[in-house]
Amino acid sequence: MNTDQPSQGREILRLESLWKRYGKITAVADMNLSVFDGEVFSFLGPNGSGKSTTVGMILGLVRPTKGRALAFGSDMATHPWPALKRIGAVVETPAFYPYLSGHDNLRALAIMLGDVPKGRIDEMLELVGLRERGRDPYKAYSLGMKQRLGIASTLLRDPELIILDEPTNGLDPAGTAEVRELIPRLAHEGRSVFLCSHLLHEVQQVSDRVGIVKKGRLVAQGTVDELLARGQFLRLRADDNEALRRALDGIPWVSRIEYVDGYVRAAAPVARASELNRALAAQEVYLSELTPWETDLESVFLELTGEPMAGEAAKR
Amino acid sequence: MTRLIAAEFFKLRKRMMTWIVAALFVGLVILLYSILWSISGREGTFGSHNRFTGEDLRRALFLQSAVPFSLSVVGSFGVILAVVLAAGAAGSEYSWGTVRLMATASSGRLRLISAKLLVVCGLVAAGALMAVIVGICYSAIITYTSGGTSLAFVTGTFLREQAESYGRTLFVISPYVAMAFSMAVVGRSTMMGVGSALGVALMEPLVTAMMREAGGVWESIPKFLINTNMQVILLKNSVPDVLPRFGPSRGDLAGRDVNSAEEAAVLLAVYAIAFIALAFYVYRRRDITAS
Repeated sequence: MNTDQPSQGREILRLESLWKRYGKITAVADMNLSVFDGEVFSFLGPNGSGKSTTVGMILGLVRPTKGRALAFGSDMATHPWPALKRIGAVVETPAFYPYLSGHDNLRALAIMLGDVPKGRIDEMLELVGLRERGRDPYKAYSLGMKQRLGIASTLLRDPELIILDEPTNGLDPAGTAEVRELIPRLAHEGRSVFLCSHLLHEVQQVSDRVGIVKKGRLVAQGTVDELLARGQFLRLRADDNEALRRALDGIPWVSRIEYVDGYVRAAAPVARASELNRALAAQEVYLSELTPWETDLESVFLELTGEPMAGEAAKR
Repeated sequence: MTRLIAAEFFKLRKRMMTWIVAALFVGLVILLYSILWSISGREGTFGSHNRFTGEDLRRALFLQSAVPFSLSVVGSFGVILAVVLAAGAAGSEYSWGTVRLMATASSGRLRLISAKLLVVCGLVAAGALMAVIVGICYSAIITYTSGGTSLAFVTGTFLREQAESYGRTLFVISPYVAMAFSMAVVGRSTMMGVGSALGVALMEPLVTAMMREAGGVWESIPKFLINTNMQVILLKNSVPDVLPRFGPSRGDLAGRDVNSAEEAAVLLAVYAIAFIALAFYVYRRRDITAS
């Protein structure tokens, strides 16, 4: 996890009650979030949860049904161009001209952008490890190479905000590690990163703050620590677990009590474990075991969305 | 806007399709000239009522008629190639998914689509010019090998007429180019653009003929269609009668209820503007997603 928490600096992206409906289907519902200068904000959600639609609205590609997406103060639905100059983005799978080489694809982009310094294209190809293959046609690239070219294209204009949608998709472990290393580095260079990913361990490692989206709604947002704290559970065992459960029911700051693998799991702050032990003893329930339930972002995600992330589920 | 045009030009210049279309254009003109030159060496007469001799045909292939004849090729077969180019330029962005990349890198949706359209129009104009240049070169060979070396016909009036023919030809194919471009944007696909514009271009003469046969109210409809008005204007290009015209002759249109050249020009302009306006409206208003 990135331990350098950004001071809540200038707000560069704000979503205000953002909605997107396609007929009867609500893709994004009442989305509110902010991204600040120099932070890595990760946007987590299962497939079809509205992540790409949200990114589309942030980039002015998709018009909100209601609400606003403001980037650098510009309303992206009505006046996106000043802000787009300061944003580099790869939406969903990177898409480039198949008949052009990687180098020529970046050159076409550089011509459009206009203010790309000479030598920047080679510099970016070098950065993403495509210098040797830069003259090969894009259609001959592997998915991993396409992803790398996508990242190079976002950096071409030296943006202040970088939006990456599943940037490690298709990369080999070495490439994934490079990207994982690159993301915090970009933030340290003063850029902000808006990262859409389904790889929770990746998000946990690089993010300052995380937003979790389910069925178009932002169900939680905060720093990784805050979200992990939300998912604090205790593992308890007593001679009579049923009595333990009844006793826990009566303690107001304990919630979500359930049996898991012969234990009783309850949501309660780990810092109040001894207080809990005393309260149970006062009710003549004596614990044989009381330990923190190990929590990671995945359990928080699972708890909030009710479904495992695709990549994580596949790993099991 | 200059940057967007430069980028569009760069992409189309690097695209194989552009060069294939250009090669087809050149090849077609060379092929037609070769066939006609070959026919002109035959004995006897040919054409309607056997009015023409081989010598008539050879003289028609001389430099004086090189521009209007090359342009008549552009006005017929060139439409097909221009439609492919226009629909490909707009529709491929959707099939490749690059439409999002371009939209986020450009300084405005309308500017982006305008740049694309301008480059397509520029390349169509360049293609027509190339066909004319190839026609002039081939015609020069025929002229000089046949002993016709005088350039006395090159006067100010002649040059102005050739320039007008060039402008006229580009103008009449513009509704088809606009339709191909527009339908590719609306349908988010090259096939939609090519299919619509070529469908109309190829089917319209057949439908028009049926309407004329049907008579009554049907007979007046072709006067409002693209092809009939296109032919009315192209008749102003002075192609000698002995050369193939690839469309109705003055005699074919005589006695029919057709517009004047000015009315035809207005109607074609309305078609072109309407298609372009539709493309601009849809591209500006619609969410940008890949196909």
